[in-house]
Amino acid sequence: MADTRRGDRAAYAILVGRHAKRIFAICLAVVGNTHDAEDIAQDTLVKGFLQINTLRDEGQFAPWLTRIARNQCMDFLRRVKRGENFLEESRTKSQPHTSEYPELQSALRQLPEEFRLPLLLYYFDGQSIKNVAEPLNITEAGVHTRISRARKELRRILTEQGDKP
Amino acid sequence: MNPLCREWQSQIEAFVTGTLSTPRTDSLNQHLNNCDSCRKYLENLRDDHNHLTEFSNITNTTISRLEQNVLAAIAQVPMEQPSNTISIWRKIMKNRITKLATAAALILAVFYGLNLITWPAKGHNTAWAVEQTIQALKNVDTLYISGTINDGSPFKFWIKRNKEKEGFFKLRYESKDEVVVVQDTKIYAYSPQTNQLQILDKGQINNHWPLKFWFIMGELKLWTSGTIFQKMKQNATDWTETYGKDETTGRDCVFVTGSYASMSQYLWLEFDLGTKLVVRTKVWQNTKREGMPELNSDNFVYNQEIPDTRFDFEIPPGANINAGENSPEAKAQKLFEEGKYQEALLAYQEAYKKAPPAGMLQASMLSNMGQCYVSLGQQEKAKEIFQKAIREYRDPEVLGISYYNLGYLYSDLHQKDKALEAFRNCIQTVKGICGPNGFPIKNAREMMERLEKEGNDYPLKEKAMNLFEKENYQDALAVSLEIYKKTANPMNAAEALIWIGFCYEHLNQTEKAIEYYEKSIREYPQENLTPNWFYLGKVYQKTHQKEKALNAFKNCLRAGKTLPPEVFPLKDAREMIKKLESESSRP
Repeated sequence: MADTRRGDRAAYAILVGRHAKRIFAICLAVVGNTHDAEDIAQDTLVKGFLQINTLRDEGQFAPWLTRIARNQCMDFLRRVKRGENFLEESRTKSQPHTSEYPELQSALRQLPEEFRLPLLLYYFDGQSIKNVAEPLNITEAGVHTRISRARKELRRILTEQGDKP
Repeated sequence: MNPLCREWQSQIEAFVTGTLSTPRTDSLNQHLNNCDSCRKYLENLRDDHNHLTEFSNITNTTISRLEQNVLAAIAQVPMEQPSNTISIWRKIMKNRITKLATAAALILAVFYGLNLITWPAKGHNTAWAVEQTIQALKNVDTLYISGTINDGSPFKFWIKRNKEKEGFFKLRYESKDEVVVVQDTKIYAYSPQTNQLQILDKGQINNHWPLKFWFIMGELKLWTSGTIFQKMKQNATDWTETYGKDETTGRDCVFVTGSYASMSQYLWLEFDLGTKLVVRTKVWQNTKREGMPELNSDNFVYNQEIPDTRFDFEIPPGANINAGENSPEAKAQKLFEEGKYQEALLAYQEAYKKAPPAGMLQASMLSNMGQCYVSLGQQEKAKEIFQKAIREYRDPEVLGISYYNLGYLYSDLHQKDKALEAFRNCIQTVKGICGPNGFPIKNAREMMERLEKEGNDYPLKEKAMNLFEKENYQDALAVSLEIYKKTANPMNAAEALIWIGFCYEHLNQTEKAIEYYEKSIREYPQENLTPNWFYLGKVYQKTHQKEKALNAFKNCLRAGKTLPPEVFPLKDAREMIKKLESESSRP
């Protein structure tokens, strides 16, 4: 971490390797499609490098980066909401990636964020329930419940989608 | 699902994810044999689990691409990163490094730049390539360099590799300003002007950047890969290699030059084509090679026997010894970096008195004292400190940073014009000293752009702040509502909601206050929510809703989990929780 603070890219590469999947999962959970999630995760990780000197407690790198990711996602969603060219752009940009489980992605998008985030962190980051609970400030039992509800909700949405012609 | 089977659900969940214990798995299996609906539930769950796992796996290519893109993007970032940290310590560190970085790089290359460099010589002539220099350096055990530094005053530098322990070395640097001696794991840094001596062990230097620099040389963290030349070349904006003759000896040589905008430096090196080693080096503190070079060395002596006694250090009689982390400023700095601003402030005040008057050390401490006040929410005190620094420390670099600090503070206080003026002064003061993308010039420029962009909100925000100061909450409410209605900036909107709540609270309309505080938390979850929760807690407390107040204060602490513990309102929230809990435990 100290090396990264001095601008050592090789040291930061290690951190990227360690956190990329989790950051991607968070972005996917918030914005709901892999393409935008990838863009935002990239911005987040670059921002992490640029702003590393503002991080006071090195032990807090993971939550700090998570916060950047969430802020980036919120900015993105606000821009989309305001229709500042992003809506169309993001829709068209998302097209080539629809082969990556489009039904599942669409179903995930429909899940409430409080369910989606623990679910994706659990599956994408391969995190233990305990490690999912910590950054989300919820109990382990809470994570279990949310993942369970998320799966059920997902099943309901997928079933409904399957029923459609 | 049969309602009777509901209790099996959680076990099926655990079973799918492989976390169910063996005895429970056995009993679940027994149940599954006899229950169609649970079997169906299991199948569906397993399907979804597999889908999600598979989905996660196929995104692995996305993750690899993401990682590559991030690394490619940060490779484009100039090496010297402008930071938002408003600390002069970094500047001091930079001074030291910029003055000696090139010499250090060369010395390190001399001893350790072993391999991994794939840098073909440019152009048609392959008389020299850096690999040859690297090869030649492998046979170098000692080096002596002399030349001039800063204002033309002489310096001398000796370094000797420890043949038995890789990565260890002895080093001595002497100039009129300082004497530095490294003896494998110990460093002595003596300032003849102030008679201050610092002695540190290798393990003690974490919070001591200026001295740590010398050990970085020893530990080779930045240069381990041997890619220092490669980095120097990559980051130079106009790298050239020109073949010619040495002006004194007439020997064949190659002149290598490059400029570094982010560090505001121009580098000039001469390699002897016979030995492939560096024979002269010059560094300018500007990118146009104007004026005298900051560092000028034309005497490189390789492999001359240097007796170990050269690296002895005798403590000068009467020297004030600071043993590393025990020095007052190092203690204060540590507290500052840990976010313990109240303690840091006291420590700085003590250290300030003991530091040499009107020096860079005092200036840096003053700057950090101001930062402590800012973090403790005492803006007026901070302003006094930054203004004092402007009055008393006229060194352009220090002055520029003090102006930047003041500008930043004014922008926090929504005093746009004063902030702009301070940023303009900052840029004017450091112009020519620091590169256009260096700290604080770039930061001041960015702040000015931000202030101009958010211009429409500023007059209103300033108006609201004035009304708050006069405790005129009725008018402040009207202005805050106007800001919320008009602003296009989410940060300002979030802030306006708190202000509205605050006004209602002081107008004794507590329900309205709660409504707006809650609204701000709901609508702007991405902002720093510590004050929102805190104020909400206060209203609940005021209206005797103890449980809710307690929850709000706890949420405040949760929201501020990554912030330094003393920052407003975390400390206050902690006190409130303590108070409420002690009240409820009373009979």
